[in-house]
Amino acid sequence: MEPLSEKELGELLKKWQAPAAPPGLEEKFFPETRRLPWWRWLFSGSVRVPVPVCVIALVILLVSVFATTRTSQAPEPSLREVKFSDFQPVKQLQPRIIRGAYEGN
Amino acid sequence: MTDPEFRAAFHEHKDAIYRFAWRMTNSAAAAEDVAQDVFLSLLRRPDGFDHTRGQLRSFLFGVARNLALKRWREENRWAPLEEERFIAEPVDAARGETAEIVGAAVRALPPLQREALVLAEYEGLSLDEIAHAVESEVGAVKARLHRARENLRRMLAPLKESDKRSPASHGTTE
Repeated sequence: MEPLSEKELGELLKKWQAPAAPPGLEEKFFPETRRLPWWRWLFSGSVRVPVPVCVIALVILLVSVFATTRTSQAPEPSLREVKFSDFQPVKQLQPRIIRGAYEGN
Repeated sequence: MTDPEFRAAFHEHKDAIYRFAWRMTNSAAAAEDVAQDVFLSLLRRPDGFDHTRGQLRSFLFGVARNLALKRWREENRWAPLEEERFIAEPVDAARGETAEIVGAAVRALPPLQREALVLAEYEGLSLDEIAHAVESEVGAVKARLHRARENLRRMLAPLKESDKRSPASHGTTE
């Protein structure tokens, strides 16, 4: 059997193609390139917030919490239920006579 | 090596290193492992690469080559890396598609012939670069490459006969 020529060999070798590197290889070194489904972001995503915005939000939160606590601490009139048995006869009468001005003389 | 430098090196060479490992190991999983270890070694020991001794590409291929040969050695403990009397059996042209037959023929070569052929034919490395990657003399690389081509010319000859008989009988996987 006659061997292939160099040209024929070169043409045949070109037909054996190798795949490119899989995306998983890059993700191992650079995790930020990982493409997640959008709903996974709700569990594992993060948001970058500027510090001034964060401080202002914290102050507003503290003020609102403080205001809420102050309001809840204000004394409320106690409304006690009164039963019929609470009405008892007076044990000792201490009458006090208040005279009117017209009765003076 | 700074982070941007590593990123640039990774993006420039990842596909070539993976392809080389894939052709040497014949396994996607093994090729990914080899490629990962190559870039890990660059990340952990960047001093291992001396730019005065050669290009980064040759260095990375050299690391990949050593890792692939280590795997091959684990599976073929007693087989020689270079077989002077390697018998190039002609392929069975009716066994599959041309690309698969060519791949099987290249994979059947002894490892030192195969790596020289893959680096020269598929990755376009010069003899000097291959010699640097495989830590060998240029003359030895040239001889391996010559033997690899001779073997493949005989092994793949049935494809030529088959094409003569029926030009449209073999497809490719491309």
